[in-house]
Amino acid sequence: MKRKLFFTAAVFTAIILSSCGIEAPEPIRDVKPPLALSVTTVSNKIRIEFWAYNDEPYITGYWVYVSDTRDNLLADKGQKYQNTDGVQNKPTIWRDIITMTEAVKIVYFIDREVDSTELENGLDYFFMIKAYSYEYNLLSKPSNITNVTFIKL
Amino acid sequence: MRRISALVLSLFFVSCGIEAINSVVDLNAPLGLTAGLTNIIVIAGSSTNTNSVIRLEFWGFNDETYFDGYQLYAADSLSDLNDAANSYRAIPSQDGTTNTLTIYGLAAMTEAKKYTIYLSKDTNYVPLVNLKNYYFNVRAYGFHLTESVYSKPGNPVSIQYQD
Repeated sequence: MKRKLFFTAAVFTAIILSSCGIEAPEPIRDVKPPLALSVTTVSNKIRIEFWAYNDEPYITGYWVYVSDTRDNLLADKGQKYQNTDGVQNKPTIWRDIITMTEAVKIVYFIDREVDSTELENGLDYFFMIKAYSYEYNLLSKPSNITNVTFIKL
Repeated sequence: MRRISALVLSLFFVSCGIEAINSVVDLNAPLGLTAGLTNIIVIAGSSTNTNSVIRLEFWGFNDETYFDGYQLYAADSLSDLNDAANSYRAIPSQDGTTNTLTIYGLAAMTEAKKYTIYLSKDTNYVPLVNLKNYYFNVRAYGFHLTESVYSKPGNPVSIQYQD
């Protein structure tokens, strides 16, 4: 009887110890995509407007992607605008972005190409936005893609 | 012996972290809701009428496998609208189907999509009232296992109806 008890206890102890090594499942983390992106030309700049409802506590901001074709953006081959503050590890739009408790409209202006050259008069620019979490290195699904023909006044 | 087994099993589950599993059942909120007035020409036999309707547009990107559609809400004020869980403020399907979402039977999406609906009647199927202010918002809806799931509400909008 004692031997049986000892054996059972040993088996259970082994199970407990081995189970300690099993990692608790990580919660699935995600960031919600921004939507309703629209772009217009205003005073020699491109005005970007979209809606977001990022209630994730780890939201950092938004990357703005640009390309000269829609297909490039669909294939994730757009270029990313760096933020104008020169701050590392921050996306294009990050100032004042905090966890949201309601839907928020965000407006951003662009007056240059990704490589800092001037926007080209008469050229079509296609845009797309993704929400971003630096903490978990997460990108949301893309917003809708939209375009504008830049007109220099 | 049974007590020991129960204790050991409890320890096992606790040490596995099984109690810490987080159920993540969420839906992306539809966004960018806008409201406008649009004229619709109705041709019935030899008679033609032009009716003013409210056009509601919004964007959704619901890639959740349990997503089913969108419920739009209408109210007379913003404060009433924020109490949108009350089903009597829900806008019924415009195709006349009862006990459904405003927009139902949708599949999970692979890209952002724009939706438009036209309203000529309010939540009680009563025709819209001239010069009355209407407030709207929208939530995504899904059914996960045995549970109804609603997204957070999108941005609210208001418009004054003019016939």
